[in-house]
Amino acid sequence: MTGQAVDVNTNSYNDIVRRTRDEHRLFSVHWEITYRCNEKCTHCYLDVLPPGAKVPGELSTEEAKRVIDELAELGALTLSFSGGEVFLRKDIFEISRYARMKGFAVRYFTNGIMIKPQIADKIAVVKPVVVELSVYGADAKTHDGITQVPGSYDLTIRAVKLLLERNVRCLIKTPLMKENIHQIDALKELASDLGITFKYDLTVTPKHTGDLSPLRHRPSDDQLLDFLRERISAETFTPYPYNENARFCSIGMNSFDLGPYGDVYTCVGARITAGNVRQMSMAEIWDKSPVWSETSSLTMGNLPVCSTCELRQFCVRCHGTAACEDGDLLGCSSIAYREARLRRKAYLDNGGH
Amino acid sequence: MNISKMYPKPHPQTAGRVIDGEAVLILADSSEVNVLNQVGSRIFELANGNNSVEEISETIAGEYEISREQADADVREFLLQLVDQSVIILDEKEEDE
Repeated sequence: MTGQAVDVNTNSYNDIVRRTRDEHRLFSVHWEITYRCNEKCTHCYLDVLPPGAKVPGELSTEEAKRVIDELAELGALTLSFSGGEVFLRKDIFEISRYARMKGFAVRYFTNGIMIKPQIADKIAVVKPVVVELSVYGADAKTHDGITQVPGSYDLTIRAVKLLLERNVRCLIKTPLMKENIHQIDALKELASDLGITFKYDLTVTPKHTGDLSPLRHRPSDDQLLDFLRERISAETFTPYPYNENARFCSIGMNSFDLGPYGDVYTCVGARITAGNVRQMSMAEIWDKSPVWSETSSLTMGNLPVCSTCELRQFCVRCHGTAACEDGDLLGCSSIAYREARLRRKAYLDNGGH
Repeated sequence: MNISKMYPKPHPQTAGRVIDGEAVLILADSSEVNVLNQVGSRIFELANGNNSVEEISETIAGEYEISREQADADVREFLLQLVDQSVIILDEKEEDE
């Protein structure tokens, strides 16, 4: 009758995630649980606070637990604790264990520099789905130059090893910047030597305050073109077919970003406020805020510039970056346009037509 | 082992939700994402610490129009598989409300 107990069916899982998007059902939450941080990364999109800063506005332990109760009621499954630096919250393990007890799959996004054996033990007890550690270079000089914390590279790599020793799944991830894009192969090798996955992205965005200073760390056109030429050709890349219903991301559909002071944002990139958990219940915010329908309607056909753009088959845009950097959520994202132009050039240079 | 009077409930380290009648589980030890089939999802949903194994069997027998004997055997086998995979645990007592 019941058949095999656990059906390892990726398609079925993908179908469920798709349905949560289509039906505006909450599935995953990215929780910036503190803006305090013990690194001072040159490109950071947050205006982080010093590690010892007094931040009375952060959600208390009890408030965090109430939020978790409400998220569980809404049916969310995955909870990604991010920062700032998550392990600066003294109650992070109490909150994490509570989330696990409520059936959440927990992820940690961390720089890892506080992860000593005792902390690694506590992480292992929580059994997170994954711990994602930010590594900004393949050597200490590059990494520490970006974090502005001498010794941070060694501490982050030590964290990976301590977690792996405790069978905690880890990956390292890197935003590619002008300072480190030439090290991508070395970063892959580093991950391979550690036996873990490596992720990268090309996203360097303005600060959430609108400060554009992080943008000077973006790779130059020449760097980016070299990078794309090595990865894009007629054999490896198919220009994106035009579809007026296509979306660039799942903004407004089945996820959101929760800030340390209780603000609920559409996502990390487009920080459009839907409400605050101190003033409304999570269900009220999720069911009643108009921002979800406004942002989930951002399809290709509803973006007047993008839908007629000559580069639309090569473009991957972030609505939030368009709003923050170029001042128009619906308008052209200048950085996406630049990447699309270079992506097309790399494609044409490598036999595409 | 006679488990009919026991109260199954989710293992504290298994992440899981029932979404539109399908249970999505993320197994603690492997981090694998898994989806239970329809009947399995219903049993997982009922395994909330408030229903004994025999009560779950009774519900399944009624909902799927099968004999009570067959439901007993299948539910028991299924729950023991979930116990083996650390998806659920079996409690002696009903969950406090």
